[in-house]
Amino acid sequence: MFIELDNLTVKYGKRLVLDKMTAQLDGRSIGLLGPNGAGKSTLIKTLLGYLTPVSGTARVMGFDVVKDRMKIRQVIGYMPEHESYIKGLSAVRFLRYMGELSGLSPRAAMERAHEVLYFVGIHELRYRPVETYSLGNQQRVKLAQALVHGPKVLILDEPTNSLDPEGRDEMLHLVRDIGQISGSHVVMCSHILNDVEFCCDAVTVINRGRVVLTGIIKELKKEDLRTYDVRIEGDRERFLGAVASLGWECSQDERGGIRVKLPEGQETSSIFRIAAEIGVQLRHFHFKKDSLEDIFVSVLRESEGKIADARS
Amino acid sequence: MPVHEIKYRAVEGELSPGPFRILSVTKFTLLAVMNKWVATTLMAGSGQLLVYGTIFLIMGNPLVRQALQVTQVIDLPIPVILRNFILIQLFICIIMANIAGPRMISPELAHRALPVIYSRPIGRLGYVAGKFLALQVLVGAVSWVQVFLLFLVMWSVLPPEHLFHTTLWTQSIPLMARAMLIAVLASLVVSLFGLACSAATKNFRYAVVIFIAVMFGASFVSRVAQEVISSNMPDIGLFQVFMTLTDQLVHRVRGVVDRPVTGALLSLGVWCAASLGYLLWRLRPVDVYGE
Amino acid sequence: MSIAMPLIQLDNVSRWYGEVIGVNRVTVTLRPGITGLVGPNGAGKTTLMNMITGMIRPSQGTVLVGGVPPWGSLTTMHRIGYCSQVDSFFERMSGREFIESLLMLRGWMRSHARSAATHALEQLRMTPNMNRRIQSYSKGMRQRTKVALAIAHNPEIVVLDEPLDGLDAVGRHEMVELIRLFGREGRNVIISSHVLHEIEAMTNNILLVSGGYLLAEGDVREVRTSLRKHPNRVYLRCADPRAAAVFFMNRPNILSTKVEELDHAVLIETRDLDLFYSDLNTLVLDRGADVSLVTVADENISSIFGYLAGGGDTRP
Repeated sequence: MFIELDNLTVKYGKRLVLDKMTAQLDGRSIGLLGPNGAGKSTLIKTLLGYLTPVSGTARVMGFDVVKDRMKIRQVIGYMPEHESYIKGLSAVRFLRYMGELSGLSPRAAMERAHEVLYFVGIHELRYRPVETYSLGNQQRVKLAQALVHGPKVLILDEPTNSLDPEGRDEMLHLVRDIGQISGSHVVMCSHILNDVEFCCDAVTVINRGRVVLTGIIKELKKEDLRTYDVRIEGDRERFLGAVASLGWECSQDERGGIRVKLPEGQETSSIFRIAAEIGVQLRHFHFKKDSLEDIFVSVLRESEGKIADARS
Repeated sequence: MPVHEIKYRAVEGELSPGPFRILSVTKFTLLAVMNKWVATTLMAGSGQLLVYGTIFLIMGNPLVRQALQVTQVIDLPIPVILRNFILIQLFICIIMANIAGPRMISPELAHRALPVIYSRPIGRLGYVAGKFLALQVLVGAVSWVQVFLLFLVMWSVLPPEHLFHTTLWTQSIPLMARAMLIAVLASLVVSLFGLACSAATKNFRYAVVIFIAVMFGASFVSRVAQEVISSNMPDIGLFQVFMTLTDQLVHRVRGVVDRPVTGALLSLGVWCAASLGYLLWRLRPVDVYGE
Repeated sequence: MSIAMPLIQLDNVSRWYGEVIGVNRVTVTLRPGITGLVGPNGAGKTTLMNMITGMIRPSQGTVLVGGVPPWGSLTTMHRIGYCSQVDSFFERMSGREFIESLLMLRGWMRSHARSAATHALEQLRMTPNMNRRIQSYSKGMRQRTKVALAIAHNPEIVVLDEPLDGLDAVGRHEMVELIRLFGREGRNVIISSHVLHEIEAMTNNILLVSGGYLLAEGDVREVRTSLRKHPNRVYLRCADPRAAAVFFMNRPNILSTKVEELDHAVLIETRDLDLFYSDLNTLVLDRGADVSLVTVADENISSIFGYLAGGGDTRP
């Protein structure tokens, strides 16, 4: 358990943002999801010690966010969503600075700065001032500064923000690698659920200042091995006709995909047999699996429903 | 071990102590601010010493004095020299604070580096202390450091029979000490104020304008109040405060109204407290996100 | 929408800024429906969008929207709606006022403008917030206001630059649905985004640009097929992937197989997709293999981009 929240209540100005939030975040990498205004950035600011809770407690690696603020800051790394650099400093200098601020000796900071820049993929560019970098490279430097002191807990807020497809891909691979090889705990906030599925093992969904779902992604996504999503190359109508004539349930979606439900006793090979008999190719054949998006949307809907019920 | 295996490792070891981290803020602030512009200014500022030293050396040489038919310069009394020197230096140090100060915090607010700085074990006070020391390096170099260097130059260049050496312990050193005190106070106040102006805005150019405006504004208000309301109104303008201190502690110029030193020191105290208070209020971690 | 939707035609279009190339010799026709405009930063996407919406002229070549160059043509501009990537609002107005004012700039009567603005904001689910000042809007709300502005005057052509930026997961989902609706209505929608799987959820029709050049256009699958020199990669998950790999390696059209133990899968590279599928049928029907997943791994935008531009990666 690297983050524990117990009835955490936090106000931002006059507004109540986190409402008796209770959760235990555990595991290697967790995706923190929630609609805008749910309290994600408030939660992050509270964990970093920038906001003081009105009541309740929060602990990071066992340290209390109010009493042991500085101890938490020694072991935490933070990559904010917005741009973040110091004008006039090169990437190396910036990272040395951040490393020294985190308590590394100047020599250790120099070593780590170069090491981490290599890891995030910044090479000769590192000696030039960060304000001249492209957005993608600035994001990498942001990630690097979060890693330079080898933190035990890493908080990444929208790491693929404003990156182009190649940049997004590389960033997601980096984040996944960190989760897997470093032994640090990673908390990633993102609105792009595909990204969270790629990088994280577990998710925590918050809405209106409360936790509405926590779980391991693999367990949450129910696989239905009796229903298959299929895409055909060839005569679709004949295929549909053949399936329907056997009395099996099947449906079409507007993008040309077909969903077939296998009745009891039938194997996947039966679908192949039908396709072979008609002479169509099964270009895409996939058992039905809940997407994280479906889970997320249904969980939110449920929690909104509960709130509406509570009010009435 | 090949680099791709080391790729990422946790860091073990003792945290460096607090004061070192504060000095890191100082070091890297200076590195960031020392672009061509500021470095040139600083060098020009330090070059003053060479100028003064040269003047003294030249004037100390009897041949030169004869050639220039100058007889009175070296015979200026020490207090007069010091007074004029301090006032010039204070002027220069205010300019230096206005050049370097705004660049120290504004860009970090503008490009939102602060949330990332505060995520480290440094804290508001440590950050402000580090910036203060950085600005002191630059401002101090053209204020109290120059006063001290002037002392050294005079001590080494002036002939032994000069009043400077004959009254060394009774007059010269005490005067020097007071001059240093004024310079140090000036440097302190002006640095804190410069940092406060920098923290007030994301654009360092606005900070320069705020600095000048508040400085002149305070002097103006003070003067007007003294003319219109009562001449016992306290001085809040920095120029007046320094003039008062210089007059009272170093050399009085005839015809100057007698103003108490305590009032001047109180004013300085107010400037310091207000600047520091503003800095600590403005730089709260929740407020540095720049939304 | 019974009138024929206008086509967007670019013929040998080049645009440079001083010496810097924006786009070079692009020839393409964009038809009604949704076209995904994809490419790395600096590829020329914004330049293309600016030329189509009539904000800049090509340095060379012609841009025609409904047969007319859009630059300086007010009638054509009436048919186009544009959502830019950057925010530029009159912050003190409310969302509704903002759109209403800009519609009145087009010459509309206030009442007409008001109802159109309200309707557009409703479509973007901004009804509860539309009378608040834009100053108070979150990023997601600003984004929705921009898109509402783009569609308020019911344009036949809608150009959207990163419309999902700043929206939360539910918002993204809703925006994707809304854009698909525009496509179904027959409008000519051009959408640029870096999140490729979301574009794939909206359309199969893409325009790939890089370095100012047009790399590919058309249906994703057709583009893939046309890249003949790159063998197809198929991802197969079954009970015994190694046995499947051995089976396929014996076939002449198979170039390589890669077993992924943890996922119980094998990635197969084949020169001849049709032959592969008949082999697959043999594997399943004659050899009785228990297959749970078959999919072509590189028929997505990311892989195509990789082949054409030398970046990206294949993830099934």
